[in-house]
Amino acid sequence: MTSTYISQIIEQVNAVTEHCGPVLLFGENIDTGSRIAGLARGLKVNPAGKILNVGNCELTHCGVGLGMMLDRGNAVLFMKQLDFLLFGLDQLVNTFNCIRAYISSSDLGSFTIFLIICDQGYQGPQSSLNSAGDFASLTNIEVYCLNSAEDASCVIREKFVSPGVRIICTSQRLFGAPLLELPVAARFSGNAIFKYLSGNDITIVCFNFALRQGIEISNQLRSSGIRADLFHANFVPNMDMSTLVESCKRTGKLVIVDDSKTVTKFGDVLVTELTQHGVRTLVRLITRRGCIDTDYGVTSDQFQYDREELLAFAHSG
Amino acid sequence: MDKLKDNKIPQNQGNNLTSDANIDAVDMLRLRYWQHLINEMLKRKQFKIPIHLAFGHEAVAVALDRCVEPDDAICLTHRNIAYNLARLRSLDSILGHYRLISTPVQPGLMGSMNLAAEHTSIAYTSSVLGNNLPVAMGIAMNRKLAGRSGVVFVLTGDGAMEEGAFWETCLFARSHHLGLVIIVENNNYSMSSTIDQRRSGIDLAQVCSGVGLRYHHAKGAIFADTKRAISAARVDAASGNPACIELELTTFNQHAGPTPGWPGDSLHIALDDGLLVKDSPEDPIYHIRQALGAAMFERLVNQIMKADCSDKYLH
Repeated sequence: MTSTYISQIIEQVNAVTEHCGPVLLFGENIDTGSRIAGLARGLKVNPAGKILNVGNCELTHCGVGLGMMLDRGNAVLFMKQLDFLLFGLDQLVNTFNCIRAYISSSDLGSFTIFLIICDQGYQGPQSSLNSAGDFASLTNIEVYCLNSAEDASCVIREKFVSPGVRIICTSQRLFGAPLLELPVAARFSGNAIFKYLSGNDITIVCFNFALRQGIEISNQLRSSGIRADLFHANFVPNMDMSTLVESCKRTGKLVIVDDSKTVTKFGDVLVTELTQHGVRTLVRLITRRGCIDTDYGVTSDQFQYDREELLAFAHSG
Repeated sequence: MDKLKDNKIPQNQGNNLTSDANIDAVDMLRLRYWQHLINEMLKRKQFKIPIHLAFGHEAVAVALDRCVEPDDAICLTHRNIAYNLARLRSLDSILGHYRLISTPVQPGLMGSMNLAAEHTSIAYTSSVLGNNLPVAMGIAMNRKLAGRSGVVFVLTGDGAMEEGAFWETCLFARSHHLGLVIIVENNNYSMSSTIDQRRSGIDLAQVCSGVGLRYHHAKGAIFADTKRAISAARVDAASGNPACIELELTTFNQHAGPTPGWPGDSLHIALDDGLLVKDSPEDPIYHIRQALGAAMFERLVNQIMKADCSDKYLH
């Protein structure tokens, strides 16, 4: 059987769940039918753990996970799509704030929400919500988007079952594709920032599930003699962005590549950081703004950008 | 306050209370007295935080305290004062949180609405309506997965049971046979709206029957009745049959802050009028006075008030 993005990720998950001791892996259809569109297909757990099929109670599922964590247990909620998590926001915001206000993360168990972002197109209005960063903004908890084999491996190995709360997202449009094998050159601030390529001419920072576009852009630029620093950034509270700031200071040009459809973009935080540090950088955004006219209907939902305009920007100045 | 427990409570020859019952009565009276003190402190604006008093919840709080086993956990709501006090057995400890005064012994300041005092079995307290129900289930689920004993008690009310989380909790707890006891304090009010003013009635017995939860009912002002219901529900939950207790009770104070809450407020509570707030069976203290007799009741009240002198708190 051909190895795909999702099958490789599940292998990485199993490498954790088969050895981590007591853990509850739960979600609707986790062990029946399509196994959550493949998110839980082939899922395994060690004898002290349990795989549990549950009903349609997303608010409660988030509370259960937090309650288990509060009781020093380990829970992973498998969720079919990002918009289901809207039901759980009260728990993720209020309950977790109550917990972290008084209890150190080292005294907590683990709660991971492992979900799919339905960005494969033709899904209708629900796929207009594709921004993991929006949940980071609301909850101020760790949010990871698995893009490459190595960043997925790092995040799953170190965070899938570990003290505290996090959201780990997969991209459904990538499910059938091979998992990206580009090696990580360096990582910073835990698993917040992954660096893939080094160059002195331009900085490219990718968010959400835009790393493949970032690589494509890097390759185009390299063929015209421009070398890029290429990063993928997740969100981790209190993350250190100095690596990105230093890169921008060196190159003087920043391209933000973000396939999420949101008003407040995580990349804006980087631009603000640059301004606050007095770093004079030319910025080009390749994004899908929520504040422009958006088609909420059934579409191919492709993330596209103007290659000629981008090349012109890279050669400018 | 422990002095009072150690003291021999004068026996009233005319009643048939055992000494255990007297201790229950003392704890309820003391709880009422402490709430009076905090109400008077609220009138004097001694706190920066909102506090939700629970005049009328004393019998439930002491009954739950009596039923909780060492391995059990409790999840509370914003109106948690009676339970925290009943478990802490100390007014001063709770005041540290309310006054936001950190000490080496009590470094974590939780205020009022999220107060889950340490070493009380209170695992979590939420200020968000219905929010504590799923968390309680998570604790129960973790204990089941780990093969640990103990049940989880979660408090809620007739307002919070309107939330979807209540329905989800009933369903989830029953589906997975969790050791959970849901205690619904039905005081007829959600803030200042009565049930009739805001929704149709809910037959909780039938709701429980529909999803297979064990249902218990008690008058929340009557200690023995409430304790019996909690104890029975605990037995159910410990055997994997989640249970729900509906307690009919009256909350005599305003939703938050002091009572009266404003000039012309129809509700009036004052320590100078005595511990009894309403001379009717709605008030748990009424039942204590009935059982003890007026003379014995006054002696106990005086003894309790002397132990925690109001001058210390109000001047």
